[in-house]
Amino acid sequence: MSAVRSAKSWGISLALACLLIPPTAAFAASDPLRPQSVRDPRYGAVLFDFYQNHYFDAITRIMVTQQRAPIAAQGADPELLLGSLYLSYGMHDAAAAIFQRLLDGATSPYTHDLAWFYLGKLRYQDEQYAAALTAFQAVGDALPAAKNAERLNLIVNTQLRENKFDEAKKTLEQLKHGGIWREYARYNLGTALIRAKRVKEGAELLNQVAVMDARDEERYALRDEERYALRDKANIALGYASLRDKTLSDPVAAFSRVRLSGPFSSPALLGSGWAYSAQDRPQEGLMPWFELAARPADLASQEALVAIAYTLETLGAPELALSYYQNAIAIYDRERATLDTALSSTSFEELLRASVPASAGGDAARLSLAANFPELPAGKYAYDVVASSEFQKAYRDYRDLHFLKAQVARWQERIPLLHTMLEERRRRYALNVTELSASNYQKRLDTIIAQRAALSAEIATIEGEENTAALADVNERESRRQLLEIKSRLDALPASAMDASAQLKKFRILYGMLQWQLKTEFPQRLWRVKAALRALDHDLEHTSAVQSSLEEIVNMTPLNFAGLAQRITELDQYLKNLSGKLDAAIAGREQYCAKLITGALTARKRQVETYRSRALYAQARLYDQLSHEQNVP
Amino acid sequence: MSPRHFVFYIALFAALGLPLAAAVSADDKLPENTAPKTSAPDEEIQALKAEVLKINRELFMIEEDILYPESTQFTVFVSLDIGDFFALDSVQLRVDDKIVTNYLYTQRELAALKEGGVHRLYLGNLKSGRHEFTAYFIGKGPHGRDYKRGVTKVIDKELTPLFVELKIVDDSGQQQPDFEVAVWDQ
Repeated sequence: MSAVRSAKSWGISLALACLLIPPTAAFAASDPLRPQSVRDPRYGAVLFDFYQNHYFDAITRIMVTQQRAPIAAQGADPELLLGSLYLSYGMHDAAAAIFQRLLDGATSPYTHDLAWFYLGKLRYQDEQYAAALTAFQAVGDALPAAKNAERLNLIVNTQLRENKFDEAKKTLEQLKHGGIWREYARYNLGTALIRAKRVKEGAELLNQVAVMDARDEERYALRDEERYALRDKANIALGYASLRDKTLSDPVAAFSRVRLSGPFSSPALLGSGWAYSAQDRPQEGLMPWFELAARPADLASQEALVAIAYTLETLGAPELALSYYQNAIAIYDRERATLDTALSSTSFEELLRASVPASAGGDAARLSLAANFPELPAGKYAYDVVASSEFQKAYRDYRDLHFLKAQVARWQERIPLLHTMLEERRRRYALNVTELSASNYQKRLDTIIAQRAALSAEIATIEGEENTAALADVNERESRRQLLEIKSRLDALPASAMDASAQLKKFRILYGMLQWQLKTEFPQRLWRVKAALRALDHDLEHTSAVQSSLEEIVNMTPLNFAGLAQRITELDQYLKNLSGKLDAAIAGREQYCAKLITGALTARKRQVETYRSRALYAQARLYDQLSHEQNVP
Repeated sequence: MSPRHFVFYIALFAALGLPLAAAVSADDKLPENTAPKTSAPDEEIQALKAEVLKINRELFMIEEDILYPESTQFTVFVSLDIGDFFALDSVQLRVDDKIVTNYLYTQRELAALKEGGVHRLYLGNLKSGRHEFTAYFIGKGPHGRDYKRGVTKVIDKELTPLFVELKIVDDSGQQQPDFEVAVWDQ
């Protein structure tokens, strides 16, 4: 089997196995809960990581902001996102605690409904169906339509788990516009009803999923693999149900609706052959089986080998049938040998290790198991176990643990760096403190405060004495000085020298004008001076606050250095312990996954051996029959 | 059981069990991505994950505290509102005329910005006092033309963390992008 085909098959199997309720889809960008209105850029930064599937970084950011200064402007959104991310990491307890906390607090109807919805999902995944149902039913009408459809689908599944088929049918009626969720609900309920022997009801529901009209075809574009895969499976289930119950629709028609290029074509071809055979058209039935037998060996094609041989025998061609039995036996022998080799020589643990990328699995990689999963020897037999929820959960944990181990290793590498950085900061701090002391900032600040006090007293005196000249500006002061100097010169002139009455008159006028200006503008000037003083007070207040902060920083920093250094040392030891625990947990998951694969291959080997025994028996019987016919005259 | 019945039942099992197992498991299971009930290893793994996340948070904060103490911490974010008139390629950030970062965006990052994510463009240290801050946005403007616009703001840094958000918004009236700067004091 080529790697491409392997990847495709694995991918599709795995995708289908988790497409019903992918836990991480809870907040997936493609399925937004509601438009994310960002009122705090820190929350926007969380979303930036989240939308790029960097879930670990998103969790870290939320946890850090919650610790430092919670993002209050976004309401419950950060908590909801964190709960959803915990859910995607399989941390059900932590997620449940968040949703419960949200419900205990006063929340909006939207948050209330969403918290109940997620709690329901958690309970459902933990197989606590009664609790899940209670949670789902506590949801009001604030859930977005898509989420509500998912909720109704989960209610259907929960009711099916408890065999409450009629209640599930009623729930399904509420899913009129549920999109793909309605199809899942129909399919799940349909197959469950068939298993419960309510074949007609089940077939009717399956038929609704199995047949797509032209409008549906248009609606579900070809890229919608999920919808088409569901249709294929519904047709296969319907086909086999119809084979069992002749009153149902034509099984050939159901099988023929399955895409030949799709991942479910083999069981459809197998069923198609049997459908023809059941309608006494065995020759037509051989065609799909021949097609199947020509394909690389898989579960259905191996079964087709015996079916072809048996049909040829019933058509009266025992020699040809014998050769097909012989061919089947040879193929089963090869398959048995392949399985033996795989079981005896392959270390599935090693293969699992190889599936973890060098980067230890980015957040995005961990969500697509198929992306790097190794091709297993005889791996086609392990598809079903790999697609099972049990394996998926164990493997997801395995990948998560590897990812977390890589994070721990990254921090372990950085511990010495943290010490170095801290030392550098300590050195710079010492330098800054020395510079600060040398700058005599306190003395300079005290001087300014003293100057301010003197200035304030002077202003009070000016105001008390109404000393208008004190508030003159530079030009006025100069004019006043010049005028007074002229006056003193005029006064000093001998009376006989000249008649200075005109100059004295001019002096009085000019001096009077100046005095008048100073006097009339005194209140405004005084106000301006006081305002400037207030501004100075404000600046001084600010400077004092800065000084206090600075002093606090200066005093606290050495303590912080000591605390940080000690904490880093403690965390280093803690990381070492954690790394050991992670190694043990990884080994445990590895063994568990390997055990599941080994178990599947062993079961398959038993199945091949059973086929082989049957074929050997048929071969012996035909030999007897043919030799008897030859001996009969 | 006749061979025919034998094969038929195998086929039936294959159809009702195996092929459906991918989405709808065998008879005793219902379709779902169900996890087994919480088991001891499961609880242990959950506890381990919680431990790693907690220690990661603590180390992350210690690293930030050492590298970017609160008294000098300065963070610049970039956000995009609609972005119909501007396809962002890169942003250059200068503080006091010194280039502190040049950032080229990937398609994935641009998609995250369009979804409402906010990119933390820069995290660094800034002394308290007045600083001139300039950001240049480079990309394609209306009609696919090369576009480069700068926005400058004088900011006052106190002894508390300072956040600056660079917002690229659409001016529908002018059919042009607009660039705004918002300052957030914590």
